[in-house]
Amino acid sequence: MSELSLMKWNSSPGSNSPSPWAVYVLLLCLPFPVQAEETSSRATQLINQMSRASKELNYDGIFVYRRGNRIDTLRLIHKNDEQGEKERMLSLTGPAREVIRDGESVICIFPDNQAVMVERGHPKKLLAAQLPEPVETIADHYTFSIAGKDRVAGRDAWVINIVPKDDYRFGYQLWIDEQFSLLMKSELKDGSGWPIEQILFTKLDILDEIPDKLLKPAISGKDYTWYSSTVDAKVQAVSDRQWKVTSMPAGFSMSQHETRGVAKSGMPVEHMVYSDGLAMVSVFVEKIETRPETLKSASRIGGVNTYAIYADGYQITAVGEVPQKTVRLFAGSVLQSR
Amino acid sequence: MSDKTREHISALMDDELDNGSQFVINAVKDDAEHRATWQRYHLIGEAMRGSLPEKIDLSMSERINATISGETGMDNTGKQTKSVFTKPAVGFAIAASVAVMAILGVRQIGVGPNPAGVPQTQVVASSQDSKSVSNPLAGAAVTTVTVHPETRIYTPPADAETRLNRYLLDYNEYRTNAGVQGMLPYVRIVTHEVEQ
Repeated sequence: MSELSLMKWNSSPGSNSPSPWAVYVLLLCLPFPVQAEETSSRATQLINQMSRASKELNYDGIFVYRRGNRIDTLRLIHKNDEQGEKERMLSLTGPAREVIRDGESVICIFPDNQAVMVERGHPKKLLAAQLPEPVETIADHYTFSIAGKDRVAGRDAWVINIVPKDDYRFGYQLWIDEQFSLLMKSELKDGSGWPIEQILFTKLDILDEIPDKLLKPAISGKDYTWYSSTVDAKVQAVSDRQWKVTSMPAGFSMSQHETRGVAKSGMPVEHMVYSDGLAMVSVFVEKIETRPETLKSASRIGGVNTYAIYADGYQITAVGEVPQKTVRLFAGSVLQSR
Repeated sequence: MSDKTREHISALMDDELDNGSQFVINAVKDDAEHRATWQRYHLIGEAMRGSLPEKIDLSMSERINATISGETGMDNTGKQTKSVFTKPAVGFAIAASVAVMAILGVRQIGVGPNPAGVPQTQVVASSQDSKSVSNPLAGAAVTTVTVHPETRIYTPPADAETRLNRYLLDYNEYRTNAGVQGMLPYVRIVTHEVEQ
């Protein structure tokens, strides 16, 4: 309850003076807003430090990933030197799949299918050339606070709560290493505080250097089939049809817009990216002659919800680390802009 | 704790410990380390069967991870021990494989001929097409299937799920750089499955 509402509750009708009881309560409450403001400021500072540390440091860690009733163990190796960032994530349970990224490409390796996918041509979106925007800019839509301290993987960590101010976004609880500011544990939470996804580092080594051999795939690649795609920047800017999202939660704005596959034989796909600085929603618009028989309107992959609509020969699909109602709102409000 | 004791606990869970079961039960009941091992084995078994509760204490997983390297399911002679973990693992691997095929479908759609019958792709051996593909695994002999050398071609996909997986890949590429990272986006690609 806010201080203002307390005063209104306890004031006599027609009087502008608060009752002595209200003044007493108000005095009791005064330190807390000040404390809350301080803890919010400290929380955002820690989150910004975390964003920086995750890109600037060299580290090698093992983490557990849980979503629903499934659990996997993975290894994450991150290197940053004068040549930029390079990262390798590999699964230690189930098929030994890997994703290796640097400033120029993403390589996905699927040993269970003896296949490798290479994605090139989006240097800016593959690994950060720039740091994420400061977290202060998104404080209008989330409340940041420090919940306390904890220990993860034998290391002391700050526990940060990020609570959305409406039900169009998910919340987070982050465990940030006290010494190196790296993310040690994370929970993505729905509106009731239920953890939809969890990651937890069980081991994390911060290193001066990462040997190059640790960033090489475990497989030789012999006899594998390689699938490679390259996007030509020249074909991204122009499209004969433009689309726009006409209704979205406050705080979201479009950060990217591209059209792909406009070559003679390809079908154009418009991809619009919206972000509130923390959550991100992609909206895809693709021309399809007939409604796909297997089209499901709503689906979920871990903490990512999707919603698809088919209308007038186009499939509109919203994908985001947000609640189902948010992707539904995005997909349902897409209109042709001309 | 010895490997033999772990084997006994595992056998007890499999209901395959004919002799000495009471001894192992007492050990689990009276000794914290034995009890922790019993709990870990149950948790791992449930994880592999996909029957974990929605809410679990991941600090338990931390302890699993810390000990998992020493408990590979092999006995001292290198022979695979019969464990509660091994049986459901088959189904686990099959499910994961199906999920990967769904992801690969994303790119395979660009490999075949287009509706007009004009091939859009080049299928080249080894490193003939160095312009569009270089092999980070230097020295390996690979078969390279290259989508159009200059632009990514989206042919109409075979089904809605394939299209959705393609969108998910694109989403993750952007998510990596968008705002604060509360999660590790590519973890969903490495462990991908459609849950509902």
